[in-house]
Amino acid sequence: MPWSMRDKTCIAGIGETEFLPWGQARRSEFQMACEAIITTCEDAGLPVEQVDGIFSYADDRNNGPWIARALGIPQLRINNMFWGGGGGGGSGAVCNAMMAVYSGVCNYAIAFRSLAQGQFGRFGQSRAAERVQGEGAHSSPFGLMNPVHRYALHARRHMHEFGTTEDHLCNLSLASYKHAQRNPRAVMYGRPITRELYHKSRYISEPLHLYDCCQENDGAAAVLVTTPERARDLKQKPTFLMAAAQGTGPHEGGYASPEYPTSNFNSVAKDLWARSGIEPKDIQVMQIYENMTSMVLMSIEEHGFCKRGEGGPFSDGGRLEHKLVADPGAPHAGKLPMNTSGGNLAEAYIHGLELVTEAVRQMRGTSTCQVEGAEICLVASGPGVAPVSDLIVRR
Amino acid sequence: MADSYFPKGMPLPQGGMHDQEYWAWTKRHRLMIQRCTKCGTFRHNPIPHCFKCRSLDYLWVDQVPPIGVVYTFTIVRAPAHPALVGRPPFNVAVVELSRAGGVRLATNLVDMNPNGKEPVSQVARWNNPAKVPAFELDPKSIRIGMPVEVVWEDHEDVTLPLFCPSTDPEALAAAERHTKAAPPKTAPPKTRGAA
Repeated sequence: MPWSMRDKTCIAGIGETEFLPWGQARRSEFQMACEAIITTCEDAGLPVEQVDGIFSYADDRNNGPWIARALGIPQLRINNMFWGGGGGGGSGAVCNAMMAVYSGVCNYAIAFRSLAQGQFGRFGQSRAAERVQGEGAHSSPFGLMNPVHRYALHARRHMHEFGTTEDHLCNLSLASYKHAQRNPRAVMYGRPITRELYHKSRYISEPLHLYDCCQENDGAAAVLVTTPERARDLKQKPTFLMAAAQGTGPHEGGYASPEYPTSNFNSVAKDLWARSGIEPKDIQVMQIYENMTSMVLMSIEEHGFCKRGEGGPFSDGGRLEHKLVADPGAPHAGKLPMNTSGGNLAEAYIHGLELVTEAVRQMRGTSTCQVEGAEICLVASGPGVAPVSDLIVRR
Repeated sequence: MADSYFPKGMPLPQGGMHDQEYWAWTKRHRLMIQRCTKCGTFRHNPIPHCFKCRSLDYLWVDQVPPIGVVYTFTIVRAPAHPALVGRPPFNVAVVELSRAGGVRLATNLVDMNPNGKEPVSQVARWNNPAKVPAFELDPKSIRIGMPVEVVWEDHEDVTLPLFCPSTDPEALAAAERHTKAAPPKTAPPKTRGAA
């Protein structure tokens, strides 16, 4: 499939609210959405009224026309929602913004996500009614009610088939928590964990421990997508969007998928690499969405960094940790730093859009865990759902 | 021993246009799985079209005996629903049905033979509509590849298919095939404390 959009669009601005544990935001989710967008425009040096496209995902409650009204945007040319997949749509919302900008549907596209779990219910809790219909009728009555249960089932099967261990999952958790200790915006800043603490932590749904699970947070993040030509008149050096992909493989949701256990990135990652013209070995830093660490492992495998089933050993030796935070003498320290802001586990769970802003900081050279000389960064959004999406940015 | 695996107040299924027949069958203690009459492909959860050949024609195939193999499982230790507050850790398992082309369903595993003392006849378990007591299954005894068979958990107007360890010869054979196809690469999971 020919891909004509390589480097034809860019991210010219990023913005975030402060990130808080769930329930701690003193202002509304809608206000946080608007704040993140205003901050993004300020970062870019773009008057807010020039925004003419609004993109989100995961059924974000704060719709484009309300935002346009609140921010005095005179003409909204496109108001678009990535359909389904929850956090799987973070890169997809950016991809949809790219398509709209590239095709001329709009000039300045905002992709955002605002999430106040304290105001609208926690993702880790179920509000299933007394009677459930559809797919839920075949899961909720058996106590299979939220993502951690679903992904624990994948994790156990992965362990059975490939010999993955809890210690492997700990590698992924440690990388994110270590990176967060350098990032004052991170909710887990100043709250480091150790391998010992990980193993001592309680199980949420075996084999997944507390530290395998993403946080539940209140906060918002946004990015501004436009053409490199327009970005020339703006404040920031643009971060180019090389490629993006979205979609799903077979049978998601059922357990009979021939690919189970899977992050559902097999087919989507193939598209991404083909469009980008680069290979996994060209990636120097990456932001991989964590719902649960076990899914990160499968996302890494299915993005081709190692073979299926080898994600556990691949994560050994400090490979996913920045040299600045890796244990002294770790044999693979700094080879492929992941989630350099702390990710969903330890920075904040803004449904993975905060991974896109961190990718941009890496390209600008302003990350708190800056990878020296990094020119390309991979973002893989929520794994194990459908559809999923991912993108690659470059300096 | 309790009337049901979960306390009152847990969600129960409400049949919709695609699966009301499935739940009507479970009410009669029959595990029925959709099979395409055109190409023979099994499917679950119930949907109108065959994902292989797009045919709308299907039959409900009775699972006799209703046996399977544990494909994966978890022990849930953090309750996520108000009805579960105070309930000890519980299991959720995915069972691969041995007689339905390997389709899998989510369920709970229970013990029908605690202490090995009171074996319940399989015929009674599958066909007798009278309530048979179910017990908590020791989470340490759960393994991927374990042979299991259906136990019916009756609620007022709906019945859930749960599973218990099986000694049915066909289930044992299926478990052996499963283990041969995917031998475990890790030691059995450690489980902290009893449920």
